[in-house]
Amino acid sequence: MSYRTHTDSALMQAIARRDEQAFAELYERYGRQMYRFFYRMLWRDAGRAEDFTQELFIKIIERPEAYDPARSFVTWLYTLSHNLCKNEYRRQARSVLHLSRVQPDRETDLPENADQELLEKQLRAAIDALPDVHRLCFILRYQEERSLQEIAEIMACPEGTVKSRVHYAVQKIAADMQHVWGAQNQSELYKNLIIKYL
Amino acid sequence: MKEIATLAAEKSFAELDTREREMVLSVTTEADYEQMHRLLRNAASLDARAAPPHALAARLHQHMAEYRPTPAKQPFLRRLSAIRVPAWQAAAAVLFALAIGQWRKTEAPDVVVPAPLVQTIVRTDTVFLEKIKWKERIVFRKSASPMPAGQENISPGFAAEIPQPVPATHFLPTSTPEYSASGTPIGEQPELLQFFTQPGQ
Repeated sequence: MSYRTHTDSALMQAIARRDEQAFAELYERYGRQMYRFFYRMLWRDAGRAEDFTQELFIKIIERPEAYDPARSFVTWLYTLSHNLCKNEYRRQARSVLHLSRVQPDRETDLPENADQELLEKQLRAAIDALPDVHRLCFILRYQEERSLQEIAEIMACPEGTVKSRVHYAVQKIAADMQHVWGAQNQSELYKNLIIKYL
Repeated sequence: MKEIATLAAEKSFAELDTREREMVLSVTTEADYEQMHRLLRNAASLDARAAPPHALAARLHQHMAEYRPTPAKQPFLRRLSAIRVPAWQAAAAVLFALAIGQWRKTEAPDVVVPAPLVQTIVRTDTVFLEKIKWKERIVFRKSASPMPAGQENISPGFAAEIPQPVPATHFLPTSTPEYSASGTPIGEQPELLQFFTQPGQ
């Protein structure tokens, strides 16, 4: 029986009945996406991302009844993942490690048209330098392409709070990237753009 | 109308339509918009190639196949009610209970338990308070009165005790007080004591 046309909610109901095909379809849909999310959230540590993806899907296998069909499945999945990441942050007491590891490399004087690889390196460093909640907002908004409403639901906070966190994150990244872009007034530009239109 | 940040994440300046370009140019320059577009576009494609190993999928599928949910623990009463016993055992237990009841009924002596005796004693006590009041009365006589008629009947001894009226000549005219009533001590008139004493005292 093919589950390709089934909704996520129907797949979860089938998984609750121990249907292996339904689980295979669900993993096909979200396995890579959730792995990538963990990879981005957990400092690009492939081993950790794999462990957390496994933990997430084991939860789905063992407790499918925890999903409330009234909610959006994707939002529920990200909420679970976000909670797993939060636990990991607590376990690792990450703040000390974070500061020593992910400060953007300001010593590197890149030319204005730096190649893509170096640009990505700087961008990663700038994203990693963000505080956890702001990083989560930025990743969900611009990397996972979730709406503000979805992010508010995942983080269990008002939409206005999400907006201001995304605003702060973009502003901070823009400021960190200033020397890469070579523009002196870039920070001001992003400030104006985000405040008016975000 | 989309927000500029959302627009910048999706389209370069060249991809914008006329209306969108007007909106962008009313806020910033083309170069600045392009830089923002580059930032957000690069952020979106960052680590997009990361993929889980195939072994992970295999492990999860195996877990799904092997996993058997443990039944939830039932409440004690429900587990108790789910126990099945043969019918003859249930019937034997009932008969046994009845037999025990009969045996206890025949063996138990007829003990008459007396009704408990309830006695109520009401005791009332009275406390008397004794208070003594003393009264004193003073009787005045305005003037000495002449011997009443029949005084001769009084015994000579008693008559001698009766004081004689003082003649008026014995009084000094200047020393006569306005207040002429002169009293007699009550001790000298024992009859008067009868007013203050009760018979038998």
